[in-house]
Amino acid sequence: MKRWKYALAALVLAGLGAAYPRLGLRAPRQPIAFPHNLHLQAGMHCADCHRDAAVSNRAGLPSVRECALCHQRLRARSPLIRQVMDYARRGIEIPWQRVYVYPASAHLRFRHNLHLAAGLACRTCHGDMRRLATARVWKPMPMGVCIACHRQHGAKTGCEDCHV
Amino acid sequence: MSQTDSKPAATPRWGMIIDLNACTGCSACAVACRAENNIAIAGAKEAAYNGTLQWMRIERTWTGSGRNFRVENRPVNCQQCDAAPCEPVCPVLATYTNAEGISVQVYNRCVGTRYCGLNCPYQGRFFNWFDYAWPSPMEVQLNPDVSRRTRGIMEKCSFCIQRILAAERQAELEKRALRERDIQPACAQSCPAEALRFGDLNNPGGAVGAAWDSSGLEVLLPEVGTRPKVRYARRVTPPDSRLAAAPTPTAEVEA
Amino acid sequence: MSDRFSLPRRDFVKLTLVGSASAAAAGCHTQGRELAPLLIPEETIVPGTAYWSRGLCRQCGAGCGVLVKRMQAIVPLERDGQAFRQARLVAKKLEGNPEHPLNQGGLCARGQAGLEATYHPRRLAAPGERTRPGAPLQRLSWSAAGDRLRRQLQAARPGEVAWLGRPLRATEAELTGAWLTRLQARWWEYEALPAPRAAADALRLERLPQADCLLSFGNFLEAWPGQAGAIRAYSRFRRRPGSVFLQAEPRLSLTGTNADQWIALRPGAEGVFALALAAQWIALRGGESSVPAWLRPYTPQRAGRICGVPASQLRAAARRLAAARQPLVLGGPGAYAHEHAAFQAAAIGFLASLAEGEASPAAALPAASSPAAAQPHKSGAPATPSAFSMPAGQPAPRVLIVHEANPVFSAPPGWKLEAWLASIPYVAVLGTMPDETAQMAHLVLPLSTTLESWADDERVTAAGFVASLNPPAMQPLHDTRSLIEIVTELSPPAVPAAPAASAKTAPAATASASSAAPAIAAVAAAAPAGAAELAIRRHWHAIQQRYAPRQPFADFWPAALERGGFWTAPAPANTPNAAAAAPSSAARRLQLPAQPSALTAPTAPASSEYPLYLDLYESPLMGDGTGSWLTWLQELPDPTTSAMWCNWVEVHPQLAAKLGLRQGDGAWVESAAGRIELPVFLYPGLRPDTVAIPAGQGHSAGDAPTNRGANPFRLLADLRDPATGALAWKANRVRLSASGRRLPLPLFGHSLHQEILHR
Repeated sequence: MKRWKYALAALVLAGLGAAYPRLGLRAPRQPIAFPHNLHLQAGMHCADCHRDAAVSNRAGLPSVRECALCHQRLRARSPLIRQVMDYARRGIEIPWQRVYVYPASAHLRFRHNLHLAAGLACRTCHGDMRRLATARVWKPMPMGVCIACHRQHGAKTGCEDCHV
Repeated sequence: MSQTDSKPAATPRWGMIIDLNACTGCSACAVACRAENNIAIAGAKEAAYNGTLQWMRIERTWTGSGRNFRVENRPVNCQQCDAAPCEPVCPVLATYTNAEGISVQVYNRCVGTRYCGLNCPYQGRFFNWFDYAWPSPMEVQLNPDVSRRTRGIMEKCSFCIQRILAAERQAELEKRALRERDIQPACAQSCPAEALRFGDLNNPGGAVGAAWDSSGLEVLLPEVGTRPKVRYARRVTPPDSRLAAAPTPTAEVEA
Repeated sequence: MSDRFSLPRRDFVKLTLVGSASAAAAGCHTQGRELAPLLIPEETIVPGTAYWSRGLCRQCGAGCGVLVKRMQAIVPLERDGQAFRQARLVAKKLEGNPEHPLNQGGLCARGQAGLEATYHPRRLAAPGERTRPGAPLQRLSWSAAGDRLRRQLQAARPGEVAWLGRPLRATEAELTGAWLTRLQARWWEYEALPAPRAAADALRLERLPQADCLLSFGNFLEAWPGQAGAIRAYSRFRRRPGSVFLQAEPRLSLTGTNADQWIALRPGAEGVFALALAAQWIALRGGESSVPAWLRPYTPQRAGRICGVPASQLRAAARRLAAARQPLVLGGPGAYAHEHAAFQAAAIGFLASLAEGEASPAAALPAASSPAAAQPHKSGAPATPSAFSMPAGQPAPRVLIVHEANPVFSAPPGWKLEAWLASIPYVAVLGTMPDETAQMAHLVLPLSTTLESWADDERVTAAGFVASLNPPAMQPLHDTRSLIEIVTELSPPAVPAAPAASAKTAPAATASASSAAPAIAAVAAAAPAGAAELAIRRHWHAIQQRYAPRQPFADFWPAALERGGFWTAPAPANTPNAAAAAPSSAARRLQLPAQPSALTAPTAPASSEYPLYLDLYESPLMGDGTGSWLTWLQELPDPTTSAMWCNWVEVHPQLAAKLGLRQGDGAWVESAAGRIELPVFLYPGLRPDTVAIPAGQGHSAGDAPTNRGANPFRLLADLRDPATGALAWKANRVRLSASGRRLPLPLFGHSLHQEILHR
């Protein structure tokens, strides 16, 4: 009897787990629990690390060498920072997991720079990262959201403009 | 170059002229296209079932009969028809002609009915029967501006729309008009014979726009009324009537 | 704490640059500092942005200039056994360099596919050794591999070391030559399909854009070094109204499909045909009486019989040629790959000088028309079995180094190359792929591709001197090094001091003190990529001294990097020479035979046993076999047959009907040397007494995508051009018989082809 209940609970959990990304609340497990909130509260800006957002399709992710640059002295004794420094010493990049992922079937070529050039703030899509430690998807972002915004601002709405 | 520098009309209409006098059939365009557009390798087994993906191919046309014949090498890609037979048959509107005259394939809409492929008289469309592999590290070469097509969708030549969009965005960011010469599809760029010319048909001063209506051009299968935006400059046979009239004899057959 | 974070962005980037520089120095490769187009610190690379660099294509020997489109990508890497991924600048696409005089912006299919060679999943990724034949490779570090080879070289006595490799030019030739001289090693040049006599034709080809009538005996559009340049020249020729193109060859090649007329010559009859045309030409110009006596026997009827061509066709071709204002005659590797190559080359050269010389004396051959003088660095002697068989008194090699050559795959069976290799105590292979020869190696040293390493090239063309410069476009994907790096590593004195053999570059190196010495010293500190760059700089210093002595090297070098090389302005075409002299004196010089009757059997003697000619041809896609590793070329429909992923034997429909063969039927092709089974492709563009097979397929060392079809090199007899020692790979005879099986023959465009066959 008890076994049966556990099995059911496990099944429900598995189902929820499978549906989780679809709910748009993807929060992949990162190799190091990077605290966005601490960095932002310390006065950094998104573009300090995600440097390419304004000039590229991708926002960019800093190399472990850049983490090490500040952290070789800053909070160097923290266990998390030690992990970071260990990667840096070995010259191996931290295997960060992508948070915002579109399924391959979307065939989407999203371009950060165009959106920033149009005056969008990072938080319009990514939410207020000051409140989040490790990143997770803030709100579901189906195509309807894109199109509504594109229409509202008179941006292009041809299929081939995004799905190439 | 001053011709191509002249400012194109507000909305361009893209077209291509392929000079059959210059084309040697070397197939450089086909490989350039594969490299630019992340076209998958289907493999030997699929090749036997006509399953390969060849956005740009060389058609060898043999005219004449028996021992008297002539061969013509003709690059064939999606002909970007104005009256495209592939478009009205798509039940999900996954292919349509955009404002610039390019017949676009919307991969995320395509559900794989393959009606468009059946209706294309030029066999310019190719279907992904499988999820094709890029054995590591081949995936490093993939063009990040072009999606990697998944199983069950149709694909075809897009006139390298990613290059057109990039040039348009660049012009927009620099707040200037689009320059026709900034845009070259991969096939035209690689062509050692400069046989493929790409340009704006709405730009009468452009290399392609100026020549578009000249009499030496032909379209493939004019009888189907597709009005392609790829035109071919016919191969001109030499003025010597003996050579032009009498097709090449092969050797006398010996016992 | 927050003030740390409020560093201005610019400073932040600067700081990260310092970090990256130190990290890069710790890595295996560093790049030269003053390389403006190259030095893009990883932290400043913007994803999605293309960074272009210029370089050199090495898919064939032509040395076309390329533009490399580079973008950031996530690259799977491995360090200390741990796999990880890193963002790096990598090559994404190759284009032709529009400024380069050889290809002028075009790039052929093989060149385009060169990208796949770098990313090939089966590339040799790290040095390895094999302790016993057939064993898997044991991974080695480069220092261990270098030690192993050095020990073997030290143990060998003078003359016991041999080098077998592709032809080398420029810095590679200089360094390797100096090293091999110091080692007292034997140096053999190996080409699967050698064409030592085609150099004069390659120079003549450059005049094609000015010609109005072309008679070609070869496949210059597809398989000569430099497809892209040849095609560009051809397209200019073709755009001239009224241009006429006659093609004389036994099998209608891709080149031939572009011709206005195909003259289906018997294989090996090119020379007789050329002399018959010459006789007709002289008669048309000056009357029958002006034909010299020695040419008179070459009548259209007689020559036509020998060539297997109707006399009327021969006469018509002569009329065409005589009517042209700027005729051009081209031979080709195929025409010269016969035992009577000397006669073929002399006859075609005679017709060419006759037609072109009189038509335009100013456009005569440039002085550097002899094949040997044409190229600045002619490296080793051609590899032939007589070299391998080691005459008495000469020690057998103890150590053999094979560089980018695959003789186990492509040498004629009669050379018994596998047995010879197996008898050599130590074989080191320098290559990129685990090919048949690498599988027999004791030591394998993996090479970087041109995209990953410094390289250069130089050649003398009719238009002038052309040198190409290739800085690395990306870091090596694997633990590989370039030939220059390996040689400088193995012969240490070569970098700081001047190599002994290159006396003319030594003063150049010291003279560089004025301009480039500090930079060189700076680069010399960084090994091993720094050493390669230094070596190339030194070679280029000599080029600058010779061709641009007034320009300081400090300007010359960056300009060369920016253009992708250095080339002199087109040489003025005012060097008339003996080629334009009177026919009779030319004939005397050429010592042509008086009687064509001696030439009735120009190829291997016909026999009832092997009644068919074998036209082995260099595939426009696979080359001599290196292309078959690349799936992009395997899946590309062959330009003439549209076949993919296979090779085949082309058979004339009439011959096929006689033998009861249909398309796709298996057929045994047998020669005295061996036999292979191939699917039949019915090809109407072929003489019925000839069968044709493209070279390049039939590997046994690859994987499923590479091991396709059967290897036609197995059919070659050891026939040679006696003067050059080059293999006469067109001069073989075979017989054909049905094997009774059906073999896969995937065609892309069968419908059109069937139409003509069955009409």
